[in-house]
Amino acid sequence: MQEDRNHSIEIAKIKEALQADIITGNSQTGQYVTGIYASDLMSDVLAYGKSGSILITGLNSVQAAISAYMAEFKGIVFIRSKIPDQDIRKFAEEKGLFILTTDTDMYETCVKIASIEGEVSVSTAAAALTKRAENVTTYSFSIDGQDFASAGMVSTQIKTILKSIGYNPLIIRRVAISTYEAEMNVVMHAKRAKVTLKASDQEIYIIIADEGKGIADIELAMQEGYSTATEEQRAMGFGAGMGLPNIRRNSDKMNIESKVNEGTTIETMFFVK
Amino acid sequence: MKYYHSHVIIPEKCAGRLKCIKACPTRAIRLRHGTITYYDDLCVDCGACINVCPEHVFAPIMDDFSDFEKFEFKIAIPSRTLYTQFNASIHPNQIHQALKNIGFDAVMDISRVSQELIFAISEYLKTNPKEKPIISSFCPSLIRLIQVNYPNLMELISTFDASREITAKEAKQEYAEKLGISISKVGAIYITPCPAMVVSIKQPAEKEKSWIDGAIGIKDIYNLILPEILQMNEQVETIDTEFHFHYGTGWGETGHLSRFLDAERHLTIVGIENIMNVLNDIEDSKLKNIDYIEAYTCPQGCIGGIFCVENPYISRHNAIMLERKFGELKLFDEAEVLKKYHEQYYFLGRHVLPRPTRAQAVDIGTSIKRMIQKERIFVKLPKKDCGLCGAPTCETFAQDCARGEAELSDCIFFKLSTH
Repeated sequence: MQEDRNHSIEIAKIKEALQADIITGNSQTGQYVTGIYASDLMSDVLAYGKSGSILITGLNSVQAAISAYMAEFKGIVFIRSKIPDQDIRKFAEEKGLFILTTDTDMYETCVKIASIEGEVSVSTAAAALTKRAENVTTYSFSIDGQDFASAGMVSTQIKTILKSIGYNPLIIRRVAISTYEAEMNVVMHAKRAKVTLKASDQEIYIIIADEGKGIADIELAMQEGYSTATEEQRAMGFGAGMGLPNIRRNSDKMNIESKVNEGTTIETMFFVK
Repeated sequence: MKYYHSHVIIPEKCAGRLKCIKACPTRAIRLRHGTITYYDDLCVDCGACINVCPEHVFAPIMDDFSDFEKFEFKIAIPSRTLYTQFNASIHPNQIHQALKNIGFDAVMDISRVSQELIFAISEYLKTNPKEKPIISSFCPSLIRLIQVNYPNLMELISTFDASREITAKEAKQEYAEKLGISISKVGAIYITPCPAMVVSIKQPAEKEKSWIDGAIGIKDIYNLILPEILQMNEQVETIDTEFHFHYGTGWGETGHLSRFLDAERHLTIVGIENIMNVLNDIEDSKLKNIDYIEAYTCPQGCIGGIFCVENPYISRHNAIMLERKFGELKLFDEAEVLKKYHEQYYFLGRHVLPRPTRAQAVDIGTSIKRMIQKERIFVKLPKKDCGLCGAPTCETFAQDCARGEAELSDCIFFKLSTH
């Protein structure tokens, strides 16, 4: 991966500024980090830490090393002269994490790194928590046209995610119905589609973008009972012409765009409150 | 809220086979620091763990016969399944007599109420209720599965009471009046094919209090009544001239469904996996032409309940024989049942309420933060679902870590790299 030198700091410079000792990753001092993240709370590291950062922490445990690896960090700076044990070192070496240790405290460490020439994103747990926009989880799925056997799978996966987040059952039901209808439309009429789910504490947002024949007259297609389904599809119980109207009825906001012979994109939004 | 469950865990028996963890359909069980535990809000009392464990770590909590000594008059209420545990050459009356021999004062079978109930349900469906399909409320484990995993289908659960409950109510009222004693002195004891029924008695999801006072598993009662039955001569049929026994058609507890309901508009489903598939379809509004769903979480319906003694296929055969002998409807007064139906006699009086689970315990923002953590953890996990961390799958392990209930270093693949 190409590193953006304008928005990064060389590890050697961090070591110098902190007068830190290198515990693991001697050969990595020429590499660059793109952000610093200071926290003792590993759950925040996992939720908000950006890949390519370094972790500044006083938590001297293997959990810190595993969390840094999970969040795709480059390495860890242990503050207040904490020396990581054998387990942490071995894990870090195996996963290619560098480890520095410094005698300064967390605040001072952050200030010293921030004053190094170069641009990095500096974030702490407190800063991340105030940013609501970070609290969005995004998933993507794909649907294959004509795959009647798997029809409904995406809607089921989305439901499972929404249920484990713990949304109100009524909103989940509306999402399920409209996503299932949209999924059936793709299976019947399109070649394939990409589905994106963005879930936040404000809204649930679903985009279904298909490649296919498109819809010539959207207004007509939105009418109840209008259907272009084949006889076979009707025989299988599909194509009653209620798909799009059902999506509209069950969503709080719906937007549909289509180009003939290119595809259709349906965006639906469900407000949490 | 603490949820009552019909089993206790005996940790010292556990050999760490992880079978229960993998078998649990709601992924409620974990092995933490060498001890089996489970999330009581997720457990639906299906009995899969009890069934799968060779060491019997999960011990069902059952009432003992001596627990019923406090009642002046004890009524046994056998599940329909009890009769299928015996060869059809054994008359149901012999089974009833054997129950009396071992200490019950009366036996009340649920068949009359069952047939009334199905008739009432078919009447209700004629009114074309707005929310469909109606899901039967007879299997307590099914109700709990919907509460935990399908809360958006709660209002589809039938508001009819179960035949065992109505039978218990009638029997207790009848005998209390006949004997001139307080109804609290009359005990109704259900003879059950599964532990879920025990939960529905001790902590009903459906209502405030059950009419049934206790339960004994079929396998426990079987050992007591079998010697009695074997000693009996076949003349027993004539002992009780008032005896009217009816064994309806169909599965599980209710039977008779096909007699009253339009087969085109009703589904019967057995087995928890199959049920989950159908419930998913209902959530998507996929089942548009179905009015009524009868479902039992055990693999063969109630004859597959874990307290059953007989092989479920043999039981099924016995059930078919019982249908032949006792399938005819007797004592069925349609006008009377209709009158009771209109008086709301068969109804629970309220909808079953959802059970708040772990997901709803925190606000959506916190929950989403945990989902982000979970996904980040999950992509780095080996995805072998080995279960050695104590969670059934890598995905559940990632969830547990995000909730702070497990530590990343519990994953054996990370342990291997640190040693």
